[in-house]
Amino acid sequence: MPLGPIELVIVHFPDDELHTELIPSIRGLVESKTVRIADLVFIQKRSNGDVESVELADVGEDALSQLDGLVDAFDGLLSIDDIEELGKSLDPGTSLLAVLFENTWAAPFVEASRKANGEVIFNERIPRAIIDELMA
Amino acid sequence: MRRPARAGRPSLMGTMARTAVIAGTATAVSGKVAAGQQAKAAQQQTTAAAQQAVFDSQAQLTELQNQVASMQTQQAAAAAPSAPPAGDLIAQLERLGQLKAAGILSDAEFEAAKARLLAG
Repeated sequence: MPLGPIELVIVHFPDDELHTELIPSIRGLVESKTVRIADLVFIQKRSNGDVESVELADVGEDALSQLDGLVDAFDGLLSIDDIEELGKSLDPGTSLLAVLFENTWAAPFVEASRKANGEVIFNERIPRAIIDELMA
Repeated sequence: MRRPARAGRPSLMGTMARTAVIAGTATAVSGKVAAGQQAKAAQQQTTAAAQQAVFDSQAQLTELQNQVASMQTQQAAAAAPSAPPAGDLIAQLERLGQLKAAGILSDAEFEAAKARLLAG
């Protein structure tokens, strides 16, 4: 199966703690073959303005053991420039988690579309506010 | 666990931003991070909005500089200087005005860029 669609999700936190409690939910998605992790990094902006990035490899034994073996071909896609740029855009005392993942669940659908000479020409997440408004 | 090589590889978001500017679609990721952060104080809101405006303006400035440069190349090659279509000119003047309002261009730079555009 060719590589499924790759997506970048950034979760922003109003604090600069390391939110490793998200890792079990990611693990669940990977174990069920819903996604494959292409990249994952935590970026923290300290109150003094320092930017720190924490790699999966540095997250700590507990979290690491939960994801171990699930990210074998882990080469990453984000560059040091991306991390610096994201760090610059953070307010002090806040942080974010950037995850790049393959939408493994979508790969067979996209492949079937391609075999039928179809092409995915539009693929966008509708902001929650719009859905709420339409469903009100 | 393997550690990804972050240095020496091209910027993912930079590549996305370049494509977005060419395609005229949404601004790049870091702009969204700045804009999406919840501000606790009005001061922070103003700062975030100003950062977003600066980011937008810088992308527009680069695009405008490229357009001006390519216009100048075309004009140098032509026997007689030709004015760009009026519609483009107005859009470019408006963009210059936005950049000046955002503080990206000084009054002098604005006047100089405007004069270059109007000279055709």
